[in-house]
Formats: sequence, C-alpha cells, structure tokens
Amino acid sequence: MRRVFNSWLGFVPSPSLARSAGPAEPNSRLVSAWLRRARQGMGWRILRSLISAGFMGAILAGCLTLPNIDHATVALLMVAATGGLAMVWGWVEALAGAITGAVGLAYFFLPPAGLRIASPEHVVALAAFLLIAIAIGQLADHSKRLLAQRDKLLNLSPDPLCIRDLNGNFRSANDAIVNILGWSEQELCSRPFLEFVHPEDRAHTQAAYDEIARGRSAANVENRYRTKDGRWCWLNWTLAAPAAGESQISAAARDVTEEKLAREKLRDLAAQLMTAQEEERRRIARELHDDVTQRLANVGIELGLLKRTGSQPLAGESHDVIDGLQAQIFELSDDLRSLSHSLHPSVLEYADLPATLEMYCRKFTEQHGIPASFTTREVPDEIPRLIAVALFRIAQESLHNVAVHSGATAASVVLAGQDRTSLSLFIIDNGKGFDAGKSKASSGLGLLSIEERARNIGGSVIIDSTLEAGTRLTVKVPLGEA
Amino acid sequence: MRHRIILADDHEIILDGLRRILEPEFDIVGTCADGRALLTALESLKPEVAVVDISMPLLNGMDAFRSAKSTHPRTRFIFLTGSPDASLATQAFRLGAAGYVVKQSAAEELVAAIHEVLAGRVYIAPRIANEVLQNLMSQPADSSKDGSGLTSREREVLQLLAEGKIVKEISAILHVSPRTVEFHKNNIVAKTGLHTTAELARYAVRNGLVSN
Repeated sequence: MRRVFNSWLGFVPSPSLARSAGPAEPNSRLVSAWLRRARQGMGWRILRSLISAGFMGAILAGCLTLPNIDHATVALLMVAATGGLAMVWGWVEALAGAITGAVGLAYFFLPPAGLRIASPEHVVALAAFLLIAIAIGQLADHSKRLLAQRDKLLNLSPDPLCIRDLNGNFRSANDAIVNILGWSEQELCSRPFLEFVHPEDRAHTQAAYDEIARGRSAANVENRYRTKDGRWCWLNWTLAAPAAGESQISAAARDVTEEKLAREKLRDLAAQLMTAQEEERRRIARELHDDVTQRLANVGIELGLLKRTGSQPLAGESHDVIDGLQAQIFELSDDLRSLSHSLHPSVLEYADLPATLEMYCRKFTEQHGIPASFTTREVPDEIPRLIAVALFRIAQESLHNVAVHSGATAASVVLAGQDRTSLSLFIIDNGKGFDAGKSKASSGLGLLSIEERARNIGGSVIIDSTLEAGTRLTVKVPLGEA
Repeated sequence: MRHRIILADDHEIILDGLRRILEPEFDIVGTCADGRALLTALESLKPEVAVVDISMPLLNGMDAFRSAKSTHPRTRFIFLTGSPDASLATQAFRLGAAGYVVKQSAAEELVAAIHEVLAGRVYIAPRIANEVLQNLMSQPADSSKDGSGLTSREREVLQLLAEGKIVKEISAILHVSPRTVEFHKNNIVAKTGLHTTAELARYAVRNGLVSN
C-alpha cells in the first residue's frame, strides 16, 4: 500500500538521494557519511529547508520571466507549492518555502520595486499569504502523516484488508493480502476481481456486492481466491458499504483455509470411523453367525441324533430332557441371530437391496404400527455392497426418525435407478414436517450421520420438508460403470 | 436305487452330523466346503438334491444357487441354515428353492424334507413357515399398482395435480388432510422421477389419466 501511495505523490525515497550523492568524488565516502548522519538529525532538516527556499525562489523567478502575470496567480502558485513541500517533506520545509515566497513576493511586487513597505494593506496581505501558506502546509503535512499511519496500521494487520470500488474490484490491498495470495497489489488492482475468485463461488460473491449496491450496510461472503502459485485460499469477507458521498467499499477478510481443511479432515475421519465401525460390526456379526451359531447348531444336531439313534430306546424322561435342551438351543440361536442382525444387516450379503429394504419395511410396519410401503423403479441388478449397506443404514435411520419424531401415520420408501448411472432412495412420511433450513444445524446426529453415510459413497442428501406437509428425504448416489 | 445327495457346508462337524443323519437312507455322493466347489461338484456328480448352507466362503449358498439354477435345473436345492431367518427363507423361495431347514432340527426334519422335495413338493421349516408364507403372500397384495408403482390413490392425486389443482383443492375434493395429499405428491415425485407440474401433466396424459 505504501508504494502506491508514494508513487501517487511522486516522492522519491530518500535512500536513492543518498546513493546519488556523488560517489565519483575522492572524498565521497566522507560526504555520504555526513549525509547519512545529517539525514538522521537537524542537519538534514536544515538542508531540506534550504532546498525548499531555493525551490520557491526558483518558481518566483520563473514567474517573473513571464509577461503580464498578476500577483494573485503567483501567490496561488506559491500556496500550492507550499502544500506540496509539506506533503513530500514536512511542515518545517514548507515554512521555509513560504517565508522565501513571502519575502520574494514583497520584494518584487510592492510598488515601487524594492524592499519597501508601501501601505498597511500590503502588510496585511503579505501576512495573510504567509498564514495561509503555513496553514496549508500544516494540513498537508498532517494528512500525509495520517495516511502513512493508516497504511502502517493496515499493513500491520495479519488479516486481509482492502478498499474496493463499487463493483468489488480492488483499489488497494494491504500486505496481508499480498502475502496470503502472492499477487502484488498492482496485479490485484489491475484485473477484474472475479478473475481471482473460484468459478463456483463467483455467483454468490457477486450477489454479496449486489446487496451492498442495493443499500445494505454490510454483507458477508465466503469464497475461494486463487493464489499466484495456483492454490485456492478460503477467505471469509465482511464488506462495509461506502460512507455517504463515497464510492468505495471497505472489505476485511479472515483466511479460513486451515479451518476448512481441518473440517474437511474431520469429516473424512468421521467417514473413516463409520466405515471402520461398519466393518468391525460386520466382522463380529460374521463371527457370531459363522462360528457360534454353527457350533450351537451342531449341538442341536447331536441331540437330535441322540434322541433318534440311541442304541437303546430312551426313557421318556430323558427324551423330555433332550427336547428341553433343543428348545433352549433354538432360543439361543434366535437371540444370536437378532444380535448379529442388529450389528450388521447380513441379509444384504445374500439378498439384494430391494429385497432387504422390503423386508425391513414390513418389519417396521409391524414394530411401529406405521404402514411403510416399498416401491422400486428401474433398480439395477448389481448394486455395490458398500452402497447397498449405506443406503440400507440410511433407510433404517430415516425410518427411525419417522417413527420417533415425525408423528407420521404413513411412510413410504422408494428406490429408483436412473439410466444405470445413479440410484435414488426416497424416504417419505406424512408427518408434521419441519423447517429444513432451520433444523439442519440442530437436528443432532440423525441427519448428520445420514449425510455422512451419503457423502461416504459419493452421494448427496436433499431434504424437502415444510411444516405440516410431511418430509421427503432423497439420497442420490452415482453408480460407477460396472 | 438310493437317491443321490450332495452336501455343502464349510463346517466339518456339521457335515459330519449331516452324514450320520442321511447315510442310512440316501447316497451321499459328495461334500464341499464352499460355493465354488459346490458348482464344480454339481457339474460332475449331477445329484438329485443339494443340501446347502447359506453362509459359505468364496461363494455363498444363495449365489451358488442363483448360478446353478439355469445350468442344473434338475438338482433341487434345500437350504440349511444355523440362524432361522424368515426374510432369507423368503428370498430363497422367491429364487426357486425347494426347501428350507434349520440346522438345529436337522436330525428330525432333514430326512423328511428331502423326501418331500424328491416327491416334487416344497418343505419349509415349521418354525418359520408361517412368517415365510406371509412374506410370500404379501408381495403382490397391492394389485392396484400400475407399471410405475403408483397406487390408485396416487393416480387420483396425480390426475388432479395434472389438472392444475393445488394441494388445498385436492384435499377438499378427496376429503383427506393436506398432509396426506402432500404425502401422495411426494410419493408420486419419487416414483415417477418427475418434479414439475408440467412434467406431471405430460405423464398423466401419456398414461391416459387426463385427456389433454
């Protein structure tokens, strides 16, 4: 920011002055050492004041060579030059210039020529000139300091701060923006700002500026900016509308890239955790089913054989005992089965998703007394196991929500394929519905885990719900080419 | 001549028990421990009945049956399972299985089941027979559905929607609550995959629900 400001003033930074101070002379080292010391103390100030006085004198002399120039014009020129000196160097130099100008004016313009004071009016006029010149010098000096201070503050901020025109294009940007994005301030200011914004974010970014243009006092927008080395940087902007009579928007941003990445990572972790959990449950369910249940079955078979093929006919009493044992084995098997089923829908390993969902809907109807119908349309024969498990779990969780929260008296599950490229699962109820926008944040784990499961298989969740109009939850999953 | 039976189960002890149950009456021509071995054995042994466990490594019993159904139509399948799951049994019978027996009661039931199956009948383990039958029967219950799966009530709602009626009007016409109409509407959208009223109207015309 400082560079632009300085180039606007046409100010040549002082180090270059020092460097150009006659390096060819034999005692140049002495001179440059003196200059360096002088620049830090009063000496430099005095030198600059002398230069200012010479500058004013030169202007005055220049004016005098012109024919027919009136003294008001010369005075105005002097005032302007004083302001310029104040901006470039400071008020001391401006004062030196102003005094030179005043003395010169008095000398050349007071009739008759010569350093004589003709009348009180002239004294007043000269004094007024001096005062005005000094005041303007002071003002210019002050505003220069304010600007420098502002630049310093802006550049001190670790967060991007910038000034934009009403379309959103950069007018100036602080060091933080330059550091974060890698683009120079000039590059940022010379191109339409939307070129830096991610194509997917352009629409809502534009919308935020439109809001400001329509008279909103502030707007927030989150978007991605391309950095010079090709990365995308997430920035969360606060835009402040221009003050009355101004035509620039002040904008402050926060770099939220890390935050976004962390959240992304967290989501990935959650997904991994869910997959791991599903795998672990599957493993335990298998173990129960393949090992424990089989061994139990074997005991049943042996007992049956004992009853039938005992070398001696069994006494009635023993027969009853074996019957009782067999009954216990059946009970155990049943418990094991429901335990293993609750851990993992093993039916999915042998039956396809439509059949499993249909069974589940029937079971749901029995358990909750809410009739749940199941319909399919153009479902492909082969559904990848991961997708089948995820969709089944989503249906399970959604129907659970229907039973617990919706107050519905009917539900419907629809599984529909589209041209073998995607598969949609719909869970519909006639319950009291909810404000989908509002409850998303507060809906707790139910919806969240549905969304995570869908995301995990590359799918998306859409919830259509309004109060008193039921809910339709749609999960759409792309199917890879088999 | 004794009937030729093949056994498939990945648990040695179960195979052992089954052999002791069946050997007095049948000819056990082979045993296998996974679905792939079963398919190979069917090819070479051509048994009349296969007694097959559902959960097996490499290829489960259900999938083995799916592929054996067309290549070996003469071999009848009896599924044998350690966990009596009516849903699975229903699925098995839908696929065309001949029998479903629970392992725990194999000693009492399996011989009878094989005789039934050999006689061209079907055997369902009594413990789950009721549930399986209910499942099988409930399948075509909704005979009012058309090709798209719309119920007759949904078709009524679709027609009214296609005629440009709004939910409130439809609920008044059909004497049901607006919520119910919304429910039908959501179902129609899901089942037909159509969202806009214009699309629904075209669909209704095409299916003869409305005459333009």
